This record gives sequence, structure tokens and C-alpha cells, in this order.
Amino acid sequence: MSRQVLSLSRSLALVGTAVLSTAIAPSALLAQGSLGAIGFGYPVNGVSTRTAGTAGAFGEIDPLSPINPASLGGTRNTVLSAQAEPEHRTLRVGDVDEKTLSQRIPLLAVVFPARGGVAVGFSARGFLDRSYTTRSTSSAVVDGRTLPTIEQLSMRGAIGDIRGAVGWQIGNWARLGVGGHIFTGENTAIRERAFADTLQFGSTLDSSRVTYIGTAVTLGGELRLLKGLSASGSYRRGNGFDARIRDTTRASGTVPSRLGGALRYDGIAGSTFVVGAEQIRWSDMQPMASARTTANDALNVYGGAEVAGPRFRGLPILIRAGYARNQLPFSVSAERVAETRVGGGLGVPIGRDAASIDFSLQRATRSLPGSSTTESAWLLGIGIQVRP
Amino acid sequence: MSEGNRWSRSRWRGPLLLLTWLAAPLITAACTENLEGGAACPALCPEQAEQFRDTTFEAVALDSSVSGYPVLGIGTSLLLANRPDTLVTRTIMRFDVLTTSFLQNGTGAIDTITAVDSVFLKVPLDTTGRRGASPVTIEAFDVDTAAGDTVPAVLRSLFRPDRRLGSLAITPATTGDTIRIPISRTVMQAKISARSRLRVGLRMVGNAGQLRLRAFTFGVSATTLQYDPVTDTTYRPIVVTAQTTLPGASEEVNTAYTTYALTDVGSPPPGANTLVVGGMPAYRTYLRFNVPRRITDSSTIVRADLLLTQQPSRFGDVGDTVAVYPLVPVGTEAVTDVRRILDLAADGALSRVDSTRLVPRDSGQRALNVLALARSWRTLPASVPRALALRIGLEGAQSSELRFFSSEAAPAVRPKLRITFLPKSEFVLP
Repeated sequence: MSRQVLSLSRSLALVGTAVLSTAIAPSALLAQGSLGAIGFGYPVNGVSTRTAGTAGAFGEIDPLSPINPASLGGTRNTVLSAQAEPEHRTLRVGDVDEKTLSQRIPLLAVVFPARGGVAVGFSARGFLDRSYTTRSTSSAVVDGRTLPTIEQLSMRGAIGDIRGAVGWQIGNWARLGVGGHIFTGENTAIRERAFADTLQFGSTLDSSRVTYIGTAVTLGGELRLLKGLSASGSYRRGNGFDARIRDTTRASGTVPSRLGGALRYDGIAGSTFVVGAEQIRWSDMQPMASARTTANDALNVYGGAEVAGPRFRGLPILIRAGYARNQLPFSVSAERVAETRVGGGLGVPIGRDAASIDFSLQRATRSLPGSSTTESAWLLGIGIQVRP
Repeated sequence: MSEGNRWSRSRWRGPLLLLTWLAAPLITAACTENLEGGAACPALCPEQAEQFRDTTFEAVALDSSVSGYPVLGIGTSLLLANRPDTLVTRTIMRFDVLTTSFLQNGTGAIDTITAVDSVFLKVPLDTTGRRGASPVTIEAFDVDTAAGDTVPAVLRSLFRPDRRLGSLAITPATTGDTIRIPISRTVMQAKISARSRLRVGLRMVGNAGQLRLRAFTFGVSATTLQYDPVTDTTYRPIVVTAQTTLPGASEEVNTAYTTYALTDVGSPPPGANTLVVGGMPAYRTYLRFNVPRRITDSSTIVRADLLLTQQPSRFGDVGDTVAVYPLVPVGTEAVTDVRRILDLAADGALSRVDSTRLVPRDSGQRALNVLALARSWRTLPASVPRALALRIGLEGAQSSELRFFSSEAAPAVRPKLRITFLPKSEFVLP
């Protein structure tokens, strides 16, 4: 046992060192207006670290991932969950690499069990993250003369998804669930433009802030098809989604509707395998955007597995892996940004069933057809679940 | 093994250490977020910038030139000039309190002055203002009078031979930084004996020339009167500083009349369609603007120039480069008198409005950078007019003037504002 602990400690130490290196390594001076942050931002799709370790494949079946409310059904313990997920992103434009480091808290969740297989869950997760700074040289035409300018745009903010949901387990063959969502958040943009000739021309510093508010309802279900094989599905219907500047609604759209489904196989003891797909109608947000931004519907497909690994203090360490092909919602043209994710992770029990800690590491690559610009990212997740 | 032992601290140590080990870098990472970039712009930066807009318009609602600057006692220098075709000036210096006693050497006893010696008027000069390569004579006159002692015509009438106190022949171009004009011992002794006052008027005669006198240093007259209290040269000279007291006058007025200038020949008055900055006595020009609020309040101004069309000046040193300094009027609309508005104006440097250098004999359109001023208009209360005043450098101590067309001139040459601005926009939506 002591050898196992030592081995685990060494392994985790290596992971920790990797985290440390990722976190505090000096970043390049420049970074990006990136493929991932176009439009209303990057779809964070806040899920649990467990699900992140499978590249999102477990989203439909994981009770801590606020996607399918049916997955809450049958939860027997109160669970508190929190996690962090820094993203180290590299944008390549020609021969130029730009690196950024984003910090995210993608998910906070709590689940309470009730009687008769019913459980209630509340969560707050990241939906669209729109935080970046661009610094570029440009020009302005003044009196018919083209003058060089330096422009810096700082965009900060995000849209979050606050969900309350109920799941019900009906015997051993089915689960049902319903959830209500409030999508809310804000973006603040600060733009500075300065001329090279600072004696004759002054700089400009402008700011603009928008707040968002919208709602949606999700229905979900899970049905056991065969022994060890079940199917899950969920549908989120979006309602009105408003963008407000000061007290005025400047644009209205609809919260993107989502339809997802997954097949789950857990016929092998200690193991779970999932394949699935989802369709998100991001075009519902097109009325909120200008003609410069195109919102495309996205079809995401994924597959992932979780298997029991070596035991730690009598409980197995869970080892996860997954693969996903995603389409990002926003673009500056008719072409869609494609994303491929490969993920892996660990689930380590702490204090028997009282708590657990999950790690995930995902590698994402993004590209825009017809463009030489590519993007890659490391997403490191750490999540803690406490079962008081 | 009991339950208590199984949950003992030692069994938690390893996991807690690991947890700490992993959490620490994440916390550190949270402090080092870096989101700066831009290489993909403009291709992947869909937030398009609003375009700058240019406008040039006749924004002047009121313009006027006011003479008589600097106010007496305010200028630090004075011109003593004899250039009959351009500029002729005189200076007046008042010594209303003369020292009438002295301390005897050795005994220290106070004794009354009965015989003075080596009486001089010591006048410090600004050598950058001297002109004239031919010899000139500076004459000093007793201009003390019982009545009308502030009336220029009365004072001018006292510059006559029977009141002459002394003279000094110099060549202006070769003078040092001080001149010493001998004053009549007889007159001086009489003034001291009578416990009277000495008021000296200076003028330059002979060839054309000009000297720039230092009038005040730290608010005190720079010119002094020196004399020996006895004919014995072992005594240190007595030094008297110019000072005066007018009945019922304020301290400022008294200072103003301590040392000042009279102008015999000066600037021609501006025409109906002309604004003047400088000259002798100097003019200041006031311009009040009417700028649309959509520019001042709802936009960011990035360039603001006051466009003035210069007329060639024929007065004074037309070939010298002179500086035009801005003044920022800060009075409200309740103040309607232009001279009062100018008196209350703040130095333009306080509003970061810089000076502009021009040559009086030139002509054509000139652009004065008023960017900082225009950007400050947004912060002004509505009751404060958007305005600018102009004064010339070395006001009252040099003869150059600048002439511009006013708002009453032909449309093409009227004052204008050229403003480049960026309208406010809500650019946050993608």
C-alpha cells in the first residue's frame, strides 16, 4: 500500500509540476483576438471535471454537469462541487505565435437528494466567455491623410447559465428530469486609439457595456435499453434573450436551443463508455449580432470512457479519456471554426466517500477553413466534490 | 484499528499535501492571466472601429481685441524706445520715500544728510531687447507735480529742460546688463532737505534705439536710486527702491504706478475686420465659440485647431519670431465685459494649451493647436462660455504684433475651428 501511495504521490507531483509550469511560465508578450473568442465568445460549456476528462462525452449522464436534468435522478448523497479550468491558448498566424492564459471557474454545482429517487440540483456555469485584449496597429483618415494609429481593445465578461433542476429515477429502467435556466452576464469593452503624432492628436478612450438576460427550459430522460446499455437525451428550449445597453434593449434573440443524445454502456464492472452527439442552434442568437458576426448552428460529436484504475485506500482511481469534434458557434464568415478535443483525466477519492478530486487535461485544436490561422489550447481542469 | 485511528490526522496528511500542492499553482495561475494579443486583427477582430470625422466651421460667436496690456505694474519689463517711425515710449519711476539720515562711521550716531554725492539711477536691463548701433542719450527729468500726476499729458509736459536731472550717452547694442544714469546732486540734496519725493521720467533722444528695462523683480521695483550720504567716500551708498502711494489707492494700484511706461507712438488701432495680438500698448484677442454639443459632449475630440488667417503687420519688429500664448477664460456668462473676462482668464499652460510661434510680417492661414482646450469643454458647466484668448509673449516689453482677420471679414478668411472627432458608439455588441 505504501508503495502505491508513493507512486501516486509521484504521479500527482508530476501533474502538479506540469500545472505549475503551465500557470507561471512567462507568457509571450502578445496574444490574440482568437478563433475561439469571435462573436459572443467561446462556448465554455461548463461541465464537471469528470466530464471534461472525457472531452465532454459524459455531459448527458453526469449529474454534476448541468446538461441533462434526468441524470440527477437517483443521486443518494448531497454533493458540492467546484472547479477551475485555466486555458493556455496559442494562436498561430503565419509564422507568428501568440499565447494567452485564461482563467475560468466553469462550474459550481450542488445536488440535494430527496425521497423516492428524486434529486434537486442547482448550478452556475460558464456559457460564453468573451475575455480578450487585442493590440494592433491601424490607420485613420484625417483630412484625407492616412495616419498610423495604435488600437487596443479590452473585452471582458461572460454569459453564465444558472440552472435549477429536478431529476427522478423511475425504478431501474428510466430517469426523467426538468430544469429551468437563466442566462445572464455582461460584456464590457474598452477601446483606446492613439495616434503616432501625440502632439497634434489626442487619444480616444471609449467604453461600452452590454448586459444579457434570457431563459430556457430543459427536459431530459434516460432509458435502459438492455442490461448495461442505456440511452440518454435532453432538449433545451430557449426563450427570449435580450442584450441591453443601459436601460435599453438593443437587440433580442433567443437562447440557443439544444438537442443532445448519448448511448452509455456500463456492462463491464467499474467501466463506463459513452458516445453521443448534440445539435446547438446558435443561429438563434444571430439577431443579437451585427452583420459582421455569423452565428452558425453546431453539431458536436463525442465519445469517452471511464475505467477503474489502481486502488487508493480501498477505492479505485478512475481513469478517463475522450475525444470530441466540435463546431464553434461564431465566425466572421460563412465558414465555421472547427475544434477537435482530446481529453484525459483522473478521479481520486479522498477520505473514502467524503470527497474526491478530479483532474482533467484537454488538448484542443481549432481551425477556420480557408484561413491559415490555427489555434491550439491546453485546458487543465481541477475539481473538488465534497459529500458532507 | 478503531474508527478514530482510521480518520486520524496522519492518514489525511498525504492527500492534503497533494491537494495543497495542486491548488497552489492554480491560485498562482489566477494572478497571471494574460489576454493580450492582436496578430489576428483585423481578420478575426469583428468589432469595427467608428471612423473619425473632420469638420471645419465658423464657430466664433464673438471676437474682440482689447488694448492696454499688460496692466500697469503687472509686466516684468518695460520698453524705453525712440523709434519715431514705429515706437516712442517714456518710463516713469517714483521714489516717494527718500532716506534723509545716515549712521556716522565709528560713533554710530544718526546724522541728517546735508550734502549728497554720486547720485545715480541704477536701471537693470534685459539685454535681449536692446536695439540700435548708434549712440543715443537717455535723459532723466523731474516729473513730480502736485496735480494730475497720473495723467500722461501732464507728465509728458514735464519733460522740459528746466526739469532735467541728468543724462547718459550710450550705444544700446553694446550696453551691459545695467545702466547708471547720473542725477543732479543739487536737486537731490534739495529733495532730501525738503523731505520731498523724487519722481523720475526717462526718455531716449538722438538716434533711434531701444532698451528693455527690468521693471519688477519678485514684485519689487528693480530700478534703484543710489547716493552717498556725505561727500566722504568711505561711506557706503544709500540705496532707495522705487515706491509710491496714491491717496486711497489699493496696494496693487500703488505697485502699478511705481514703475510704468507712457507710449507716445504705438500700434495703429485694428480695423473693423481685424484682430490684434501684441503691439504697444499690447492688444489681447478674445474669441468665444459656439460648438455643437454632439461634438463636445457626445464625441471624443482628437484634434482641434483654431484656424486664423494672418495679415502682414507693418508695426514694430515685423521680422522677429514671436510667441502667441493662450489664455483660458473661466468666467461665467454673467461676466459680459471682455476686459473683465480677460482679467479673469487663466494661463493656457494650466489647461495644457501650448504656445505658437509666428512672424508678424507673414500672411496666410495659421493653425493654433487647441486640442487640450477643446477636450476640456465637455467638463465645463453650461454657464461657462467655450472661449479662448490670445496674448503675445513679452507683452508690453516688445513691439511686435500679429494681425488676423476677424469674424467680420470675408467668409474665406474668418476664424474657424477644425475639429477631428470620434462619435460615441456602442461597439460592445459583436
